[in-house]
Amino acid sequence: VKFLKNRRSLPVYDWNASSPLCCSSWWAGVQMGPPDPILGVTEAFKRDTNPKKMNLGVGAYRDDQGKPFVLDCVRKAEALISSKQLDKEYLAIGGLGDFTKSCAQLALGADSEVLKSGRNITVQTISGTGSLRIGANFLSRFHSASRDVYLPTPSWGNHTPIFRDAGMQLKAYRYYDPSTCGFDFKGTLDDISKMPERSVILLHACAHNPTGVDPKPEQWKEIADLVKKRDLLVFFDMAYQGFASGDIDRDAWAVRHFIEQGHNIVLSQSFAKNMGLYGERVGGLTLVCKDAEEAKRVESQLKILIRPIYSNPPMNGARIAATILNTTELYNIWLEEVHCMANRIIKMREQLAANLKSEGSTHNWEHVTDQIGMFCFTGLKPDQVERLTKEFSVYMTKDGRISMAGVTSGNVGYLAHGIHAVTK
Amino acid sequence: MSLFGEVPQATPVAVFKVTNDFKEDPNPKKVNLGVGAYRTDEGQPWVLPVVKKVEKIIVADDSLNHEYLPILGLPEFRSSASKIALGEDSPAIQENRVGAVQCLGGTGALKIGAEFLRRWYNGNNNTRTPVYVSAPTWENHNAVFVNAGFEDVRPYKYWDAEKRGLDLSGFLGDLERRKLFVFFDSAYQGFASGCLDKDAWAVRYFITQGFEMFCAQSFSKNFGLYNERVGNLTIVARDPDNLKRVLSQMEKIVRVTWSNPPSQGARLVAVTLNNPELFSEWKDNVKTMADRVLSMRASLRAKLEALETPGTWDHITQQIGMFSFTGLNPNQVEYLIKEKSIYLMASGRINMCGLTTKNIDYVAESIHESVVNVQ
Repeated sequence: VKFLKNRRSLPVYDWNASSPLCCSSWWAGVQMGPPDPILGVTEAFKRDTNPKKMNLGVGAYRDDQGKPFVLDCVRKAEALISSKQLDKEYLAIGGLGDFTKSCAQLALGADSEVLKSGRNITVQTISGTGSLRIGANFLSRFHSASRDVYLPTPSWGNHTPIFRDAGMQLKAYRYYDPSTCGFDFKGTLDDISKMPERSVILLHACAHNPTGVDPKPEQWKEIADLVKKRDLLVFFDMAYQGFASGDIDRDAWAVRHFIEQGHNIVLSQSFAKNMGLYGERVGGLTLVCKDAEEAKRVESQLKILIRPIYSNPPMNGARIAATILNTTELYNIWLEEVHCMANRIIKMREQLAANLKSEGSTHNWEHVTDQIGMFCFTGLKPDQVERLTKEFSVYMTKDGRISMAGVTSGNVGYLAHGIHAVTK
Repeated sequence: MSLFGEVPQATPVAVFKVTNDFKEDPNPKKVNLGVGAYRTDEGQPWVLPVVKKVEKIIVADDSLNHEYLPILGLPEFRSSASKIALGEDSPAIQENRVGAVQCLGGTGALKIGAEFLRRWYNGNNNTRTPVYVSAPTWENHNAVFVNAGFEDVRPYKYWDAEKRGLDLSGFLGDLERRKLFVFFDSAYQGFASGCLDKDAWAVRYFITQGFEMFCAQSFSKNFGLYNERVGNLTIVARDPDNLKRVLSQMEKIVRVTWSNPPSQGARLVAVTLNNPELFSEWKDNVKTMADRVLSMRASLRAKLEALETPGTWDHITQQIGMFSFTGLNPNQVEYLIKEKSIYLMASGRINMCGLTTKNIDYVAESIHESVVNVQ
């Protein structure tokens, strides 16, 4: 028997010895899981050795040098926090109070009647994913009226497995019109009018992912009316507040309108993109309730849901976000930086469309500049996407979605060239 | 008519309620022996000196950013964390059959492990598969497995209330002759004895016996990183191929739970564990904490024996780690809380870290009073 170098003499196990333990693995029946369609794109990109390669897969902002961008307000907030020498005691299950308060305020507006009456409950979550998951779990447990969640077609790829894993049934409503690369308003209204009462409808608050196609305010108003008539439970996913138009109030308009119209919504917020806090996992989940008493009951149940998943949320990112939101000077810097990021995206859209034209493309590329936010639904078919990846090392998801954040003034010409090549 | 009209008020989580009640108590002599977080002899939280050092290193490093970690977490964290549990020279690691998932604290590691087991352990649906947990156990264990879909969470004998120690024969009797999957919960490595290897002996022994297993590791206590949610689910499989398939399915579970884990805490731990000087400093910090706990144990026992408090008190020093099951009954616990403003769990569990040289006399006397006066 071989002994380890460690002082405690533990014999090395001999797999060949006859023992009930050595015969087979507990995991013999575990299948190989498919790679994640979105995150898998980055993995493939990393393996590519082509110097001209472009990663237009995952939605993480890049500056015009193609580098990750740490916001100045974030660095300043970190320095401030560091100087305070705070402890690392557990947060409450619902998270950092300074964060949840300002997070709700950012979404709903400082003068929101909801905040004044205390009829919202806002908890800190593990970014947008964690927020959607807890929200889905809550609906699964307490929304007995319906199991159905209606997602727009298409939607973020992870929405479906999140709601399904939480025990909800996935349904769809028309949203994107491939013939115009725009909004299928009529289709949306048609489908909403047929939804069974009290179903859950998921709406992207702004900068729809993956299409970049958002309803106009007048269209939102009609949607809100119809949703009210159908008595549907509205679940807003707001992952890009500030990032879409560059204006945080404008991007939250739909959410606030629905609330004003009397919808008691469920709202997921992410600070991954608009504060560049991706890996810190900063998010919020808000439920707008009938009154403060109901909010208290809902809060107690949210805690019961959260505790057996991760006990309480991580401090670092929430602390940074709270510092920014609650410090006037940093808040103003943040507004400017968000505006800058959104503007760079808008500029890249304009340059991409212009370059495609000068490449001689005869297709209509208006949707590139009509669409909003980080993503552009190019309209490319899967085989064209494959060619773009294989021949030009441009990495994107199979549905033709590109992250505009990965486009720079240095590579937009190359991208236009590649797109033109596979579509002419 | 509200959609949430029917939502009932849930009872608060007990351990946090204790801390809450403590906070609201105006008595200047109050003592919090409830929630499990380390305290210095001044009764203050303690950010480890090595952590402060590493934080400065991270802040100064301009090459770092806040980008997403991979789904399974920071690679250098995962591998170094698993090494801590299994040992540098672990043959299982050398044989490439050890993997890990960075999770949100020990809770998160248990959660991901439980979700995996429910889906893949023995066929595709393990909702009826029994899960054995010690009697008693951390109160959240039950909730984690039930929420992961397990319908049958059962106790195995563990605590002998009369001896105030381990019921070994009961333990063995409950688990005898069964082919069981082992899920270790390692929340206090280093914190128990002061020595990392000693505290990992059981886990490493099971590996030498050929077990495949999960080990949920927490760095909340031994790194004092409570609120950064640093945990690691270490997976020991029979071979690299099984490991690979397991990890691929772990990714899918993580993706619908939190997508990818928080970076700050994992980075702190990884930098520390991968630098020999910092690693050494960390081990010293851990020993500091463990030693203080040991001295409080010795002191409390000595004082109770000096007071001639009825009963035997050697369990105080025989037990190990942050907590002690005092053996006090619910009435005595209530007396301590209501009359003495000494806060502990209804089970009689106290957090040794809540004891200091300044309050230990008051606590010992109060325990004495409660045992003598309350039946």
